[in-house]
Amino acid sequence: MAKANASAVPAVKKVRKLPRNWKWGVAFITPWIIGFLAFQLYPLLASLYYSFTDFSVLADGKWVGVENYVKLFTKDKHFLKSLWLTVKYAIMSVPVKLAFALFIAMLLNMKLRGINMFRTIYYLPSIMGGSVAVSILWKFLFMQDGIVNKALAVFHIPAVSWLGDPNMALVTVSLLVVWQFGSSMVLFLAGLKNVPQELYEAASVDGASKVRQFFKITLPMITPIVFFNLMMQTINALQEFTSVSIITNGGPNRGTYLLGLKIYEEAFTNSKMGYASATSWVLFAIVLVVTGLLFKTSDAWVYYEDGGMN
Amino acid sequence: MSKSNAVVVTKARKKKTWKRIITYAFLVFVGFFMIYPLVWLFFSTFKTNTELFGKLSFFPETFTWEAFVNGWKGSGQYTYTTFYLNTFALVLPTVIVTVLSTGIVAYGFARFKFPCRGALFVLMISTLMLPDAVIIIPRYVVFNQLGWIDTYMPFWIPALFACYPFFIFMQMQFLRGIPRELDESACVDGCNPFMTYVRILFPLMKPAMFSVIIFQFLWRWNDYFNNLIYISSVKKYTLSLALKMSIDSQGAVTQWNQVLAMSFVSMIPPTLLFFFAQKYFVEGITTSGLKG
Amino acid sequence: MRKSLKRITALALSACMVGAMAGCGNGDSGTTAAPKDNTTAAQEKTTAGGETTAAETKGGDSEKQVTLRFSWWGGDSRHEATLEAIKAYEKAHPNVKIEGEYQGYDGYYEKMITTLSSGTAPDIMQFHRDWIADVQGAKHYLADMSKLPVDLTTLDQTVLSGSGTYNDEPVLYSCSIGGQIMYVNKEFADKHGLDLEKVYTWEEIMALGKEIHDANPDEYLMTADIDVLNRLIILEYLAQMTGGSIVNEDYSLNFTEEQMTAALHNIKDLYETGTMEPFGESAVFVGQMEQNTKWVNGQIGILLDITGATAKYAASIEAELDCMSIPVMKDAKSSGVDFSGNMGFVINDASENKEEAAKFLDWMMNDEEAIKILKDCRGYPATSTAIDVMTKENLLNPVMKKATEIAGDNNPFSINAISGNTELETIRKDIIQEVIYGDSTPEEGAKEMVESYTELLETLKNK
Repeated sequence: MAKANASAVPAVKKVRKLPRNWKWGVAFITPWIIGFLAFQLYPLLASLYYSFTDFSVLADGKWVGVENYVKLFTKDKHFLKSLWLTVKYAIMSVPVKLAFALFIAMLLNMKLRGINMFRTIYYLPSIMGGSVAVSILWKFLFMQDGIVNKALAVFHIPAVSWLGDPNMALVTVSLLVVWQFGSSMVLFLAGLKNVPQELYEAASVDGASKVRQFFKITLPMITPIVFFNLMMQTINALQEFTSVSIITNGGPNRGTYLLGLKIYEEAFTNSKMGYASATSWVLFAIVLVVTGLLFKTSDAWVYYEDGGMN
Repeated sequence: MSKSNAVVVTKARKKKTWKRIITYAFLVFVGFFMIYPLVWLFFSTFKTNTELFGKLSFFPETFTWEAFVNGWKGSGQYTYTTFYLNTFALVLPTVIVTVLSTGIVAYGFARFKFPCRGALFVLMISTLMLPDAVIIIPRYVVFNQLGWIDTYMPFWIPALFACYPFFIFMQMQFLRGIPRELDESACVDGCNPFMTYVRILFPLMKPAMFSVIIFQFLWRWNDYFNNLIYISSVKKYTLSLALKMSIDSQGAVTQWNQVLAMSFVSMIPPTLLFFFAQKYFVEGITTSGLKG
Repeated sequence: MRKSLKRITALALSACMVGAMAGCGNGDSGTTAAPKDNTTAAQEKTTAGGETTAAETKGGDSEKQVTLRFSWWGGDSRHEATLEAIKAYEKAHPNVKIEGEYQGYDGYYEKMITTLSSGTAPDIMQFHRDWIADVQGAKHYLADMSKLPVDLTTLDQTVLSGSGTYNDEPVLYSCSIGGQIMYVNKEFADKHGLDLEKVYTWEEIMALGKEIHDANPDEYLMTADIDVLNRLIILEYLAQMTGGSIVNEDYSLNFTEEQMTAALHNIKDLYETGTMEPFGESAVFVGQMEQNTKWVNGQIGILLDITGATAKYAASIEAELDCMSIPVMKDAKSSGVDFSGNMGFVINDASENKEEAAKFLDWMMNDEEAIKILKDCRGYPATSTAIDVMTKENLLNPVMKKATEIAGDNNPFSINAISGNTELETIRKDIIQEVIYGDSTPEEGAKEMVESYTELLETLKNK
């Protein structure tokens, strides 16, 4: 390989110097390239193409140009409202979920007797996922005379219309995803493990407080994972579908009609795959911008042990 | 640790005991909210429909294992034994090839520069950004043309070709937290990049890899919609399909206790997996590993 | 990479665009459904398991080995009964093998349209009447049953023409009939003096509802989720005023703004009088009214639904379940009940074995043995043969029988396909909720409804 590289370098030198071992890199990502071309590229392009047609699942569409996009922004009563709800939902749920997950992960990272049990217990809600059991459970907890309101009554707090009030319903749905914080927690746990213990030992000797240690050692060392979690949770939140579909079905009064649900309904309930695709691509563009911005800011706060790639 | 520090350590130990108690109290308190639903789910399997929905009591009126026994029989031709085995047949190979394929791709992206790397990376991440609803149909068309409908191939093969950008990106982030000097020192010993990955990084990636295993296992295990679309014959049904097989919101009576009993049973393998895999998140090869 | 992300993003996007454009160039074949012969491929796959593959080229028609795929949704009892029926049919017809593809309701429609569009759909499918217009309107997916060996004469002809016919072709063989009904908790009715034999007016129902709620703030006469309000109450109320569907066959509106205002007012009044459980409280149980705690505990007396849901509601309360007619206004032009076959079977037009599928369907619907096995697992049967057999054998669920009779008597109507359009429904549901939550008055709601309906119908007509 080294020989091949050596001979290759002078040949392309005029154009651009190729990095060392680049062929290895390409070789390693080849499986994904094949997979992408075979299974992902076509669906991606097809959905883009659909977005310019009036394709329904059942009938071939005809080309309508940008009509779907124009309709989204000018005629669709729900689109902007849904978009705003979705953003609100992401802002509401993602930071809380991550902060909670990180906090619990720190606790669970301690060497305590029986901590294995606790870790498993804390992960259980995530195992339940979007199952039927969860949807029934959420009803019990949050209906008018449900368990949560009964508990509040003990403290003389008046009953809250958790799922009946359009604004409150979004909060209640957010609670579900915060409660299922397991996947973020697992990643934080795995990230915490990679923080070298020597750093803490050295800091203790220097008399740094736990809080200071957290901000000066832990947090910087796990920023790659914080960044990953933040990005993935944001993408997921902007596409959220399961929680609203099993708990509120978008209601009441469209109070939880997130874009993910709207896209699903347009595609399958209303058989307007073209329109749903257009909505998706607008969402896609938004997510792309948001993640692009996140990447940009990551320069300033994400610390990579490998010294950065570019 | 030097001897002059010994006194400090004993004092700190007393403080530590207190901290420990508070920590435990807190863990139990929050843990209660976490486990409550599961306990509720378990007790609900003993309730009749009217008891389940009408009374908000926690404990059932009677205890019989009827729901488990009847639930396991399934409705008609196949029992949950079949559905269980099917789910393993679908999930296990998928998980194994996902770990292998996404790890190596992540290594490629994280440690090597090559032409178009940035563009390819953006392309990879962007496949995460389109909601499933609009790609289900074209994806179905692709798998249908390959003749893979009603097989588990739509689950196995994309995993083999690393079509899970989430896991690629995740492992990249982990790899980037590992100092590059490690691989370079290995290269001095004459390892080629592939052997560097296998010998040096693969063991260091254990926490990340177990995250992949846990997530992929759980997500494939719980996935309903893809299973529904790609699998048509009942003898190939997985647990998630079987669990909803009895629920007809349109008219027929649903025996909720059986549905919940089987939901409960279906959660056992992921829970066990998590329980046994978690030690890789804390027990340490950390320091020794990083010292190289 | 991070610094140049913007540029790369732009690049990647434009690359996608170019790719898409190229895709459109050779477009049609690439993006549309898979070729037909996939049906065969899929069928062979299912047969490959045990049986030898059909020898399609030779042999007499009756002796041909065929495998039929048959899909339905339902609960355990329906699955068990249908599988037993399949077994009985296979025994009587050794050349036919039937693969049952059964599941719960969740995702069934999505799966059907995906497989239909890709040519991998089963040969026989259980279908909702509401799906017919969307499916058959898009393409000729469903077989014309008048050309197949299935006896359509045992179906009530108004049911067949009203619920099973599209573009003058019978495509849906109704397996059950019924209409809207009020399910009543008998204990509750006795306690509060609800007369089950009487047909109440809306005003009378509200007077009783107010009385009950005033006497005990925890009790309500009725509850409803948005689908019930939309499909059962608004449509019924309008039909009582107009005598028919909300939209005429020529895509014109069959109601006036005043009538819609009155219908929305009626809903508002139901809530304001305390007749209905507050919308917010029942919203938790959207789509699963049988799980409503107050209903299960007998604090709510009435649920509105279609007659086919009897079993579900009977199992949800400890008290006895009964039924009564929906409220009907004075001088109504119809009872407001949409009496029809809301569920049935269709045959895949792309199927290789349409004839065999039709024979099996005919057997299920009209053969005495099949009827005795299937009983009422899909609701009150639609064929005269089934009703005869079940009456003779005393297999009819008495509540379901009563419900069906009440719904069928008293001048019902049959809603047309265009009125069931999902977009029209969506608009209606939104406006109903806006009125309930006080975002708009019934007058404003009715005005908005007429305006958006007129516009939407215009586009639908020109399609």
